Amino acid sequence: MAAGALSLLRRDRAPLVALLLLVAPFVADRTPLYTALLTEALVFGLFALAFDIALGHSGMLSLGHSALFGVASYTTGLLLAHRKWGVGESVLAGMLAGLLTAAVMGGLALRKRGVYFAMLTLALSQIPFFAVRMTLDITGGDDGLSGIPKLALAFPFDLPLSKHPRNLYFFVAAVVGLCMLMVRRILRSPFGRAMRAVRENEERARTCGYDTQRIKLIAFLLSGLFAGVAGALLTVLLEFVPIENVHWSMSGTVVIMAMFGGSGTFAGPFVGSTVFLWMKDYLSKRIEFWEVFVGGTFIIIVLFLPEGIVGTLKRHLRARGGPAAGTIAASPRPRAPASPTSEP
Amino acid sequence: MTFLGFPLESWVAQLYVGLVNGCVFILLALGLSIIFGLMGIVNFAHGVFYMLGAYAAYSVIAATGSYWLALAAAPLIVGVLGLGVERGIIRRIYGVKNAAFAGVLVTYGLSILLPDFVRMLYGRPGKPVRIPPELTGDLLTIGGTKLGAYRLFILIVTAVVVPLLWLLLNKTNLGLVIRAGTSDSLMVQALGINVSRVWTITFGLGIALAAFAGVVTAPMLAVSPEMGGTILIQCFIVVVIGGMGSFAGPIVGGLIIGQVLSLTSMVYDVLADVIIYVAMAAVLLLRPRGLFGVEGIED
Repeated sequence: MAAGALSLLRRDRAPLVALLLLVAPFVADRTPLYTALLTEALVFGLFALAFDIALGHSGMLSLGHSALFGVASYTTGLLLAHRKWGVGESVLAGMLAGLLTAAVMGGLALRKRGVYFAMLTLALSQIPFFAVRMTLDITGGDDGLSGIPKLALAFPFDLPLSKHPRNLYFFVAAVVGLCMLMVRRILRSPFGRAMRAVRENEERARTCGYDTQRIKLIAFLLSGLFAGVAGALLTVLLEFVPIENVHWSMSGTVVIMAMFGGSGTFAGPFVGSTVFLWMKDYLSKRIEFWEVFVGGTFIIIVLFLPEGIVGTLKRHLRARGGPAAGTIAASPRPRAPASPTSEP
Repeated sequence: MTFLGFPLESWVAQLYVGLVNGCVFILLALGLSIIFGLMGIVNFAHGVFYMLGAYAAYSVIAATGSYWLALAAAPLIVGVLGLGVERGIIRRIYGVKNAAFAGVLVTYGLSILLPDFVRMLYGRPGKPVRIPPELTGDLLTIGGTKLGAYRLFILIVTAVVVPLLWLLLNKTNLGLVIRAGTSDSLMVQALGINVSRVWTITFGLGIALAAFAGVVTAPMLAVSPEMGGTILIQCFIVVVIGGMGSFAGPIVGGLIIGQVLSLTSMVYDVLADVIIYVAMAAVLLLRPRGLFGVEGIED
């Protein structure tokens, strides 16, 4: 019985993750990860996972994800503040906003590859930033968008969100959990394989008959969709939209989170966002110039720990897995290249 | 006499400002382009080194009181720092799978780290750098508009530095090796040339150019830790519009972006920040490799 449950868990970790999400807020406040920080970590974990659909799974380094995230969080914020929409509809609208922004950005930037793609996404992501600054009377400009009323969920049941951190947590955890299931489904589908084929060798994938341009565009759209959900959730969480959401430094933050946890792994983005937010929380309370440590850590990760926390752990576990796993799997992989996309 | 509702003198003044801004873009974009051409690394820390150049100038002036000494010393100091960065950090990513991504990420990390480091040393508020007394005042006045003498100085130094750089790249042995390394570094290595040292020198040279741009612009704006952010993105646009892999690309791109920024800020300043991104999108749609880009290099 217990062995059966264990082998089920080994095949499918979803129940374990669900249990973890359910229990976490009751334990969190006893650890340095209080509930509010944990909720934020889930939102940013989803954002980093969305970003990693592009980088870790399709091999596209985007430095413009602040636009996808920011436009979504402003859309949700504007609808909540000015149109008095409900939370559910606003989050859905934010998701669509992320998708649409990704369509425009991807349509233009995917004309180029590699580092050019990175430069183009960075440049294009400046447009929404300046658009927010230009529409001061609607968006609040540099001061951020305020005036979001007290929030409560109306569907599927009434649930007050404002000033109820635990309710807020469960709302966010439910949405993020749902997104995780969807992303997992996508990554395991034939399309997910096609994405990885493009990542490993675009030329070869094209020769095999894949429409690589289309695969990359769809992957980028999916990335925008989930980044949009994350942006919308952050607005619900903060009841405020800081202009930082659409600033290019947000793109840097999400790269760091994904790489820190382990790009190309499923758990990596969540581990990365949690560790990063905890580090920021801890350091910024104690050290004025904490960005020195963030930048320094980032360089160290790229140089010495290119697979991130989860990727490195996985490799060590596999190496120690013993002969049962087969000699090839047991032998340590060759020194991993400093690539953000080394782990499938 | 007016054109589009603005007097002709305003147009002349604005074109002049745009030309000078274009010069700064040229200095920065050439460094960016040389580093990318040889090493395949898009230096996301380029704007930060530009900022460091301005701060180095501030420090030299604070210590000696001489702008002219700063003009010579700051690019040297920051260039040597660039050599150190290449030896200590960038060197480690050569040859790995996806070195281009790793290069972007490492330099991105530097661009987060270094501004905070500068804030730690110099404080958060900006620092003033004065225009040297020899160059204050106006060159001439057309109608009511003034053409500053210092801007002419920027124009002249760019007109001196850029041809020197062209000579270095096209008429010297070092330039020959750099250009050969750009097309096939393995072959150059096989011919018994120490390519690794050439990479170090090239990176240092690109960084020194960025720092030089920082010194010459320092007196025209407040020197602040954030000054490298926006200009880096504008330089990317210059490079995308001009096209990588040619000497003319960054120059023409820089002049175009300089004028576009300067003229839109006069005609309709709300759009000034956005219009260059639209220009970039237009060039990409019509000519994906940029105006002067070499075919095949964009992958």
